Amino acid sequence: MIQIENLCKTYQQVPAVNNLNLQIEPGSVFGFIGPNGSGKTTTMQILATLLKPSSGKAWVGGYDVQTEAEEVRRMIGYMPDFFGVYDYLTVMEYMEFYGACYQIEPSQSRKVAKELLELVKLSEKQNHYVDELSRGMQQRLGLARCLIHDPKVLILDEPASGLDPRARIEFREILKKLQQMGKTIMISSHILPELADLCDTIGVIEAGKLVTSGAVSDMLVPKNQARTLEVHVLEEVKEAEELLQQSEYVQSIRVEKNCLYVKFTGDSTKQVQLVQQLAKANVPVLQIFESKLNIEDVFMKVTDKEGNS
Amino acid sequence: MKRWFTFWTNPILMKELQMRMRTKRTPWIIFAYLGIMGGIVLSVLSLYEDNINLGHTDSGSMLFLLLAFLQLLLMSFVLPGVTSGLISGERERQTLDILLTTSLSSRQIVFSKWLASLSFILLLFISSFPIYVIVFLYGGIPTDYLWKVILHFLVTIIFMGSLGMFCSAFFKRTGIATVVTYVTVAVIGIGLLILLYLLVLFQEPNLHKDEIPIWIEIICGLHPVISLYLGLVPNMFDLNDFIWKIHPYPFYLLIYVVFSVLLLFGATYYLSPVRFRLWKTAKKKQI
Ligand SMILES: Nc1ncnc2c1ncn2[C@@H]1O[C@H](COP(=O)(O)OP(=O)(O)OP(=O)(O)O)[C@@H](O)[C@H]1O
Ligand SMILES: [Mg+2]
Repeated sequence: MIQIENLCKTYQQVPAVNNLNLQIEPGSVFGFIGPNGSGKTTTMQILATLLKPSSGKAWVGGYDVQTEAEEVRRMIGYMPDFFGVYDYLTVMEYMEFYGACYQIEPSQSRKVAKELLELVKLSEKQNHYVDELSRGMQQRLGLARCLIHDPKVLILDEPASGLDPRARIEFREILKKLQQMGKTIMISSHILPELADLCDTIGVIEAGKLVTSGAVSDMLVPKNQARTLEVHVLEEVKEAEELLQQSEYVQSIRVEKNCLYVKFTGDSTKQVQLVQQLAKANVPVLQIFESKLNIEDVFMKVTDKEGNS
Repeated sequence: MKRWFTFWTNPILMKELQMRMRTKRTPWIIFAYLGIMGGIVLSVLSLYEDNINLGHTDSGSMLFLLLAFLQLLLMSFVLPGVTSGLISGERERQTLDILLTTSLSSRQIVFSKWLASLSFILLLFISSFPIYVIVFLYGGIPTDYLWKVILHFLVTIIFMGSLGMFCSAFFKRTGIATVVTYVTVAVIGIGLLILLYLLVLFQEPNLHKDEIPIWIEIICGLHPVISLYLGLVPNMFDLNDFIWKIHPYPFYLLIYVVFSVLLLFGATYYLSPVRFRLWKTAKKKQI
């Protein structure tokens, strides 16, 4: 649905996006992750036909963002990282205004606007002035706004910023609904755990370059690598450590209070054997589980690697 | 035809008008505008009553001229303020990006905002008609005065509106755009007069009525008040049998329409995120 080829954008000789290649499949939710200043907003602005790339090409729904900008604009709903609203305009008028900007019939756009306000839970605020809404409400209104022309692709630049935890969860629910409706969603954020739940693919960008991309599940459980087991014991930590060290599948052990972080290379049957051994030796094991690599760890790892090389 | 219709009746125009009518500033602008104009005209009228006998042909037309110049002066205060924030304001408010990703073209955005501001100015103009009627009652005003003044006035507001739009699109900040617009208007209104004065001063020894240098004619044609004055009262300065190489009044109308068109195209150019797409064929060739 979105395809980016060798995209470059330089601001006064400083590259913001550097030879970016990316592909987003129709119907997927793509999380775009990167530290501050890595070029997320720049990439999204190019996709939204707001910036001209220095070189390279990008397509949305098969349309070139440079030469077929009009078609691209009909395809996408773009929500900038920061956006304002007009004074002296009510929520309903705001929606109708943007409906009219897409040449939608007034009656039709009113109907769609009603549904969308329902979706983002702003129905009661219909007749309030938009500049009097709270930041989070404006954010939700912004999402409703970029859906008014029923776009196939949503480009959301840090949509969850400024939302309280509860609103974030609601926001996630809305995005899930949108995904079920078959929309392709590209979403940038630095609130990583959130993206993990929401996205099916993520791409990590660092200094304008794509560091890794792929399915979230692949990222979280790196293949052919040692897993980390967390073994919590009540006491006899020393004993447990010695016991574990004997196993050939244990690479290393790190002890923190009553918890042992075990780098384990064996599969699940080997893991069961390990537990049985511990039980035989009467080590009071409280719990044992695989510590999933947090997406933040992935992120730190990936961006660190880039920084060191 | 339908394309043209949708081009002009787009939502920005509607929203601009709607918002302008909702702001508290608008009634104050109208109030101040009419107050100043009416105040000055009525006080001049009361002075007239004492000194000049009514029905004298010149007094009516002089009053009419005064009114026209007053209107020009007031417009050059109001218009830059109204137009110079139209695009930079959206930019500062961070609504411009959203607007540019809708299916409205930058051309449509520029034209409809421009049209909206001009309609507001026209509202001011029309609301000042009663003052014109008072002056008309004095009589002695040639019929061609009226349409000449209106034509001149339209061209002037079109130009100043385009100038404001251009500055608004060109400069990132409304403050700078407003200052530059006012300075440009001041240069045209006052700067040209000073320039003309200096030039005439230095050229005076070899200046003959029959052979006025072309640059003086051009400056006369560029200046709003002089060009209007010469358009209405051609025999002023004893110039009645003088043959203009370029007559200031039509020159003024023509040159400022051309300027306006260029400025509006310029505004569209600086607004377009992916420059330059004024023509579709041009964009096809880029591939
Ligand atoms: N208008 C501009 N002029 C000059 N440099 C710019 C401009 N916009 C962005 N940059 C530079 O481009 C780089 C990428 O910026 P960008 O806004 O795309 O980052 P980002 O990934 O969105 O960051 P954040 O997470 O903070 O939003 C930065 O180094 C920034 O300084
Ligand atoms: Mg950003």
